[in-house]
Amino acid sequence: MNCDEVRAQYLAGEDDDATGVHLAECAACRARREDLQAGRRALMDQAIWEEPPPELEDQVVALITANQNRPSLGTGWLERWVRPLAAAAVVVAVVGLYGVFRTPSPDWAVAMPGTDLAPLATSTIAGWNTESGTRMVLAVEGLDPAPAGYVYELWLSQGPLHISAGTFTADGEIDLWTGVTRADFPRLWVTLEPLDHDESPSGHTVLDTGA
Amino acid sequence: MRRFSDGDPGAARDLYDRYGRAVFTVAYRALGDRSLAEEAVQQTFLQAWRAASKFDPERDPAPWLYAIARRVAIDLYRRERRHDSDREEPEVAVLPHSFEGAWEAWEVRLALDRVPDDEREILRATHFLGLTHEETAERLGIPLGTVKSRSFRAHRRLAELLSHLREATA
Repeated sequence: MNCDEVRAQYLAGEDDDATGVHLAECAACRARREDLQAGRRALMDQAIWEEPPPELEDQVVALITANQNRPSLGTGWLERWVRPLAAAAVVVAVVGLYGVFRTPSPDWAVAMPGTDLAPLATSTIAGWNTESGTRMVLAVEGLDPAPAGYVYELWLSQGPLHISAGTFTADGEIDLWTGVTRADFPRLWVTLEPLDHDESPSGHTVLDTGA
Repeated sequence: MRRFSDGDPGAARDLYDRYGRAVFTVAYRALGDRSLAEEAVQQTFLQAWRAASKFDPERDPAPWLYAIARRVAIDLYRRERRHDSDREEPEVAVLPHSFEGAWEAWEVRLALDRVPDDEREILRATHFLGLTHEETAERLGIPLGTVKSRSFRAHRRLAELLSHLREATA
């Protein structure tokens, strides 16, 4: 019985005395045992075998096609002057438009300027209080797309308690939710977060209403 | 991946063909709901698209896409939790157990996508449905010897594809 056969039998859950003898003598196969055990467990998981609906592919492609004009990075005087002015105009327009077109009007709206890490960025955030929390629309301009392996995350804070309201990767108009109210958590801020398992905010703040 | 990074929306279909099922698997495992998992798949690819210009196309996109998918699932989980909750006291969310093992699920699903259909259906019958070889043969209407030979080939192939699964997890 060679290593391939032993590993196949082990993954299949058909290990017997012969595989046991081989494992006892073969360090390479013993080193693989945890991989195979994890694989065997995963194969029993319904999620592994659940298939997405066929139409989902077309929906994804359509969504991306509709967002073809993804943000690009600019440089120079145009970037330095025109974009902030344009962004300021957008902020004013967005706040105004909520009042004119959205039903109902937001319960609050606040500007969230860029920090030293994102001096060209401007944003405004409007909130609607609901029974289960707060719906927010964040309108951001002038923020570089998040680097690979990172996302932007909006936080609401009261002192040391921080509540995430969701993540995004590029500027534009972003719908976000939180289970708390701005009255209880007055500070709104956005950080650049590495895509890791740490659920707390990083120190890389890019937008901030201030404490 | 280079075309995707360069902003070619047609490349999205290629990327979906390769990773769409695995993204769905991670989302379904984490959220336990098909419609939420579908929403997570859409958001994952949209976020990947928006951030792709920053991604080095020479790198393997799998860990990057997995990380986005997991983060999107966390966002959706928190959103749904808030919808469902009538608690007034806020609480820093602790992720449920369903998020554990997401990486293994991702890797196993990617590996399964590389296994031929006739071998994959044997794996499904024996591992997920818990059938014996005899029951599998009867269910699929194929000889017992065929089930055994396909089962061996499938497990040998999968064992090779899943090498260093735990290392990748760490």
